Amino acid sequence: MKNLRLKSARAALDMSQQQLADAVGVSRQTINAIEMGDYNPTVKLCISICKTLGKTLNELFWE
Amino acid sequence: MSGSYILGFCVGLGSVILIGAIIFLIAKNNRNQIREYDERQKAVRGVAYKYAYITLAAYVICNAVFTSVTDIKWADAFTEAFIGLCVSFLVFIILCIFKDAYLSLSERPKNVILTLGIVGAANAVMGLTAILQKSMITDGVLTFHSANLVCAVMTGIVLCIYIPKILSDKKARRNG
Repeated sequence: MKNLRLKSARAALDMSQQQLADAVGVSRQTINAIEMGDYNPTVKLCISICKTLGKTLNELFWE
Repeated sequence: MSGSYILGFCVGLGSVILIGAIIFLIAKNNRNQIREYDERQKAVRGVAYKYAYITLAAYVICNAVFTSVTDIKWADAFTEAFIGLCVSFLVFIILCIFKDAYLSLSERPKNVILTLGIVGAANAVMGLTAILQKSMITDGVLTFHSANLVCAVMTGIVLCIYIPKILSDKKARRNG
């Protein structure tokens, strides 16, 4: 299932996938895979993404 | 063993040690260049290793069955093993490329393509030399002189898959 909330949160900050990837220390393809629902990130990476985007885990990753 | 063979072996071994030492010193001085993969890439590479292992096992079994059933010795033992390793390594690389886990976070595609191009071209030249010298096949058996050509073919396949992938990735990055 696609993670549209992550995509919209990133777009709201006018960040590209590459910028978010650089900020959290992963590859752009990993961010793309998370947004497309092809990869389930670990809690560690989820927290890192949430901190970068200024959101909570519930807002971005909870169903 | 002839003198030129021993000399070639020593030069080859010396070159490997020298290049290894240079790479080690560069990596030691520049810690940012240490290969690091993210968590998804590590998981993908683990799966790719599994398929590479299965490929190697299948190759060994098929080769053993073929050799024992037909009684045809198509390559010497060293070459058989080398080709098996190359095939399984190729499976690993192709899977990593398709799943975007080939490059570490600090590596740049241009540098990798350049390195692969140089390695492939050098091996192709040495492989063609072996063909011209007719040392590749002796008494109907493939010898280890074919190793360079095998490497060149392998590098060519990797580049043929990798370059279009990089181009499509560039396009996706622009859109993303």
